[in-house]
Amino acid sequence: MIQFRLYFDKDAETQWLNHMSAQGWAMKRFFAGFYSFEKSGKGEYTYQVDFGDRMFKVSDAYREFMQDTGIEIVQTWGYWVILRRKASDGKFELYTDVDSSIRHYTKIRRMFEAVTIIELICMLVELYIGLVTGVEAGLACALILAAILITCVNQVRKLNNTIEQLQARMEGTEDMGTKKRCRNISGFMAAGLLINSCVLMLSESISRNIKISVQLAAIILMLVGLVQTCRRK
Amino acid sequence: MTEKDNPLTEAVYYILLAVRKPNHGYGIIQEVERLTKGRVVLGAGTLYGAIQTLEKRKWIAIYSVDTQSRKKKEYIITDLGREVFEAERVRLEELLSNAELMEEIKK
Repeated sequence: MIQFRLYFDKDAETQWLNHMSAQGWAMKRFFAGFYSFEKSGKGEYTYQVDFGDRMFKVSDAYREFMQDTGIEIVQTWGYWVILRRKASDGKFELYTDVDSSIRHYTKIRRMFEAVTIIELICMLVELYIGLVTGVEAGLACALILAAILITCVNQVRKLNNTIEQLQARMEGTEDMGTKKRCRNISGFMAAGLLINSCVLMLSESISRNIKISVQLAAIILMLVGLVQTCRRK
Repeated sequence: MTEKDNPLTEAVYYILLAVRKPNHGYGIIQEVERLTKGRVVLGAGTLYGAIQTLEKRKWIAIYSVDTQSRKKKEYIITDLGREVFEAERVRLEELLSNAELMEEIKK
């Protein structure tokens, strides 16, 4: 069975993989958002997602260490490493103290920050191409990049929040009524940008009326997103 | 050894203890679990990160690797590691002996 999912949040991804495993589907391969699953015993494996030090591969030391600990490296993708272990071998967790958890999430945050900056630069270049040279595809790309940018910024904010909570736990200042909710950019905003981008790319093959009405819908979606972003607290 | 080496984190303290004799990754996890009666179960990511750091600081060293028979890689504490551990023990003893002050007030 193959399922398509786009995860930016490793904790949500881990949860989903374990949910699938509990139903008897063990994830075996991953390629660009496509997860392929094999039938297995219900809850046979526990999955965890790690963040490695190298792109698309792990060091020999890491591979050996995981093997010796009874952990199988299922897939590497970018810096991500998907691991699993037989549930019968006991509870499978990667980071069990606050120190190492903070270090782990800080590494992930650094990656998202770098990606955010790169996306921003690419978006500005596409925007320039789209607006100054009048190439509509450039504008369409800029809108897609803007949608990804919003997702990355949200991830950085979410990770900031996670790390802050961990630090509070270490300093013993949690549960003091200072629980901050992070303000996220609404998903409607990203959806609106994506729809607008699709309209721009298809603008030659669809009628003027459809184009205008879809674009109007996208603008409304973005406005809703804007209002939601401002009100969310 | 510098000031900031102490206090050791609980994980580092128990890892150093677990490699007082040659021990491999999974062996360290089991030993720490046994020593703490199941209270501390080191996660693979936590242990891997700690081993990398301790090796870099030369507090532990690789004891043996046998690639032929694919024997598990074993680690052992170094003299520097023992020094750090001893300094931590002295610090903890001070904490414990001062803890008796609490009892004095009760009397």
